Amino acid sequence: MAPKKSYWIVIPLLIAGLGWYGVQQWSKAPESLANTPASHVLEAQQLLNEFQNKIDQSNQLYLNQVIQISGTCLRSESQGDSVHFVYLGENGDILCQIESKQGPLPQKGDAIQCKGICTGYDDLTGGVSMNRCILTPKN
Amino acid sequence: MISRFNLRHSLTPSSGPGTAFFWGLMLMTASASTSLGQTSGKYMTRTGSAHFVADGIIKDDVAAKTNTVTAVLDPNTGQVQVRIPINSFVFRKALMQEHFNENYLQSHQFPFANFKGQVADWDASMMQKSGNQKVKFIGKLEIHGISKDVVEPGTMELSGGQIRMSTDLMVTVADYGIKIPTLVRDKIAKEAAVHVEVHLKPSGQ
Repeated sequence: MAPKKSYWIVIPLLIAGLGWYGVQQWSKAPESLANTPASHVLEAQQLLNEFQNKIDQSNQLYLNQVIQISGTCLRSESQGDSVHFVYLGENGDILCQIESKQGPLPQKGDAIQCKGICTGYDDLTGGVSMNRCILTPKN
Repeated sequence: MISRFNLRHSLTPSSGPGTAFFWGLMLMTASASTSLGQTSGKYMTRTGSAHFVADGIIKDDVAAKTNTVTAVLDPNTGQVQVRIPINSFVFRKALMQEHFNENYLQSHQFPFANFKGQVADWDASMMQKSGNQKVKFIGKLEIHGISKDVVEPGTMELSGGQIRMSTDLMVTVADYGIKIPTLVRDKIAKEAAVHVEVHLKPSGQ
């Protein structure tokens, strides 16, 4: 009879454990992209050119993907303490929103690498945006 | 004193070696002012903000924010275009963000929410007034590939060479073909309260 009695302890514990795991998974905040590998690595200007010349093909390749681009910073700016932007490309057409401030923002002329989620090409302004970006100095 | 005839004569090259140079200069000036007219006359931003709250009966923090809203205003006509990258909305919960993009808004297929329209009763004097002005935005709002005519109240304020525009609107999710599964129906509101705010600068700045 002892094994049957143990069910009454094990089953509720199992259910509680599964419930706790489910709540943990549901409540998890979006993870930083620092350890997420990029699906594509390319130059910032190349990314812009591809979107401008082959929008459908580029959407399939890059939209909603974690990609890494490299280029020269044209300018950077902040809105308050928590929202930061870096503009890359010849005319600053590639906009990268930085996930959180990772040290001093790059200055005009700095060569950088930027990994983030590509949110697409906006034909209203002719630019590409990237979100939740992680900046790394270009070697 | 220069007479009218003399003034015109002195500004109008008729012949001689300077003629080609003069017309070349005039053509260059004309083409430069045309291209400036196309771009520099408008106000724009790529870093506007939008956030929404869509909590249902059961509160579960269904809310998200983005800071990469694009907007363009033509101050001559009052025409406005706003574009919001759907995938740029950040939620506090990763799974909620994933469901929002993959199941509800299908951002891979419909990457942007768009508004194309007009500030109602626009006239040039609105660009001279200081302080908060109440306005109405009339146009088409496209979300999830479905376009609807909308009239939304908003505000406009000129400050330091910039134009701040904002609007608060209620978006009925069913109107835009967004299907909410029965399982989470009580967690997600039928109407999302959306706030959009942009600070527009003269283009090129």
